[in-house]
Amino acid sequence: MRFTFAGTEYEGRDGETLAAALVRHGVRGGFASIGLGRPRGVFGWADEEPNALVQIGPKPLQRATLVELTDGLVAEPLKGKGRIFEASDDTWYDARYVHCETLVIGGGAAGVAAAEAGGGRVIVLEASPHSALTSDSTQGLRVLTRTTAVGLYDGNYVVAVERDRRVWHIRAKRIVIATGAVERPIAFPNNDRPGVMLASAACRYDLGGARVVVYTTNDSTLAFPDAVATVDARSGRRVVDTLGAERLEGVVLDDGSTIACDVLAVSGGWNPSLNLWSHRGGKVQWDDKIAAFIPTGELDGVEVVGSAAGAGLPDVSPVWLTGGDETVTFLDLERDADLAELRRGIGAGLRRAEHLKRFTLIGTASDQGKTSGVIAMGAAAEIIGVPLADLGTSSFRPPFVPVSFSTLAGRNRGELFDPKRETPMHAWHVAHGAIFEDVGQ
Amino acid sequence: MLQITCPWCGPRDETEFSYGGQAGVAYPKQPSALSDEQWGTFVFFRENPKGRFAERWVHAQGCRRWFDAIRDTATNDFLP
Ligand SMILES: [Zn+2]
Repeated sequence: MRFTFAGTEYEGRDGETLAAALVRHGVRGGFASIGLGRPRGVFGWADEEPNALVQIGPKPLQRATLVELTDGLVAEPLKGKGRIFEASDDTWYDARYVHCETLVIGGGAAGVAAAEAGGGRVIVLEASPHSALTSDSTQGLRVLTRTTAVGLYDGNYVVAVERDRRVWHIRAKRIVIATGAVERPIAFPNNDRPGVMLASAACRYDLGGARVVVYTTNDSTLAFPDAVATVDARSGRRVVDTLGAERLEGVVLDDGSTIACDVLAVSGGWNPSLNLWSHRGGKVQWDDKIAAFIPTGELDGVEVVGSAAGAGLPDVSPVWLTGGDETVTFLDLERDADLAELRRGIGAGLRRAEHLKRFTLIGTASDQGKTSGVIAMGAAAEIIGVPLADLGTSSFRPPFVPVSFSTLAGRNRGELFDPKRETPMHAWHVAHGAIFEDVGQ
Repeated sequence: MLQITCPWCGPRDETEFSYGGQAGVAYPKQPSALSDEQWGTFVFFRENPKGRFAERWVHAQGCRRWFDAIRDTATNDFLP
């Protein structure tokens, strides 16, 4: 299988994502940041990816981590923004309306357990192409892979998108949120150098013979294979800078020593994915042990299970501030927002997460701050000198991942957007040269 | 989107219904006897509680019949 990225042809493998193939071929950079044009590379594994945005034909702002390779695929890297396609998009889009007793969002271990225990008609939504479950109509089980729930609304109404082609409108008696947790990075100078990645992503990619340094705040990186060194923040060690230009060549530690490396795998902790919980007005509270927001209170007919509820997540000793040059200490990679900007917002008197978010734009890009929101709040709390919980929380709004207008429009386009109705004497009017006025429906 | 139970048709999507405001607001027996202020109060003044609220709804895209329902305005849950 062959694919083209930025004008160069590469060999791809079945079941591989564009990002995985690029990393396997040693492409560490290849992207540029939206504001400053700094070199960037693949950073995450799935929908949290802030850097690796591509245009594929009519489709702008596709995440390379979610693009499955097909033979002849042509992807162009985007500098943060996509292009509106001039020609009409001739893809067919569609919608389905379904009801069920149990809707499980997320097909990981917790989701599978919930689906097996769920009564009545059960629907499982899994964002990746793979699921441990298969649909079984005799058991009333429907498993939708490559399907992401993008919004949770009043009356247990969920809108989900399958492969960006089909919109599912699901009304469920009971909803189980099993969306898991997303790793977050650590802010330090030049933390955006291509080759710096989330540890959870780096350990799943084929890095070839790359020299890997792990920088961690928790035990989730223990199983990392073949690292040349581990910098453990819990023993007071810090990465204070990175070396290189177009790609990472090494890291600088707090004692001034350097380690040569190609990849820096970073784990700043884990954030339960509570976007859907928040869409319905669910509250969250800060948990100091795992250094993350977990769900609190109740929503009628909605429960959160597994690591989305904080279960099984490692204890974390977070590192919010590192020192050094704050103008190159990036908090939000997709927005190119740095620590200096956050400090300006605080200097202007802002003290709430919602205000700082609007001042700095952190968390407002198409990744919805999946990797940036909490590290920005942690840094702000430490600069202001208050507990993180005092900053309040920023609420999430749908959609959880970007959805194109053509997907939402479905078949309601062209003639079918607003069907024309004619009176019985229409033909006579036409024959007599009548002039028509569109009076709508 | 809310799900609203029509007493005749059963539970349906909110988009099939239209809202009729507060329930139990009686039309004045002698409208001509009302002062401007009383008329204004009848036309414009409604309760605005946080919590249980009795409302008029019409199943406009279905059986087209009116009915009363009690909704919790804080949670948007319809109460039996
Ligand atoms: Zn009805």
